[in-house]
Amino acid sequence: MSTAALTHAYFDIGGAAAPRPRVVRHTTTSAALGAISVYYDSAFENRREALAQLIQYFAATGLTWSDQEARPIEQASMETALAVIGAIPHTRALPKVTPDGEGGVMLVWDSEGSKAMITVAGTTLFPVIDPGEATSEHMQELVFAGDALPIQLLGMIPRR
Amino acid sequence: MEREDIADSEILSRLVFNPPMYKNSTLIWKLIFEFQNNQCESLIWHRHVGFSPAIAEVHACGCRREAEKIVKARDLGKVPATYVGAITATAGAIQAYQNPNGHGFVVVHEPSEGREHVHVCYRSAPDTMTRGDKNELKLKLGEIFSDLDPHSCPAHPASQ
Repeated sequence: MSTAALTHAYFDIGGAAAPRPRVVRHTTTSAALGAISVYYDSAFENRREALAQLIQYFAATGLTWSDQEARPIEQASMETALAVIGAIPHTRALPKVTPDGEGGVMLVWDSEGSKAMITVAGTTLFPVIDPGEATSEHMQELVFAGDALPIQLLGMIPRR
Repeated sequence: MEREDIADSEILSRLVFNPPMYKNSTLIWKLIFEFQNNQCESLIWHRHVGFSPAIAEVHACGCRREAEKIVKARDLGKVPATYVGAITATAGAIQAYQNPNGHGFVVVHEPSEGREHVHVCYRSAPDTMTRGDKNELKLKLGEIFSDLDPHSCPAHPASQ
């Protein structure tokens, strides 16, 4: 997808033309589990896809609110951030995202009293619960291998 | 020009520019302060901007910067960022914050870049801070400042 297409994709998300939310229950068959139900939340998946496009845009162009040149995020940070976004289960909220000005990506949750931040720098994650608050807690940094989110990370992400 | 001490009650503003082609998005965290490459960020000291209401002079500075960016972007064939207003805080509020690991900010007069020019910098050496520390500070600094005082610059000849 071109940079221009990505630009339009992320700047227009949430506008009047955004798809209507839709939750669908599919029944599928798993060799291990037999017949199982799978919920597909189209609004959630659309937002996840838009975040992924946005993160790719940050790698191409960056984003800044200052009068200086934007610094794009680094390739490894982009790939890790995409993996983290892709691993968030639909029971949890998706974050807002921004370049951090040093080649990394910040994933930020701030809603209804729940605040959390994960900095993605290369393959390393730096999680902070309640960033900027008196209750702020810095968790141990960890390398994300791209599989399921570790339980300690999952626990800090607010529920939807 | 002599560097002056900045009392806690002094009022400081930051110019804010919308990225090129930006429309409101619910996906993006607006990270105003990036501290790119651990460099300090620029602020405007109200005491030294002139005699009319200080915020009007701050906006005038923003419009001059916007005009410069329009010319530069035109030369590079790019879309320029747009000056959209300023956010404001006192020196005391900025310097009072400290994260749980003891890191915070210091504000310093930088008259070599103009009598009204002030830098906000990390108080600790950057190599003593994790990415989590630095990004917590960036996020918090945005919260310490006021909401945007909006402003639209008059059409500049270079943009026509």
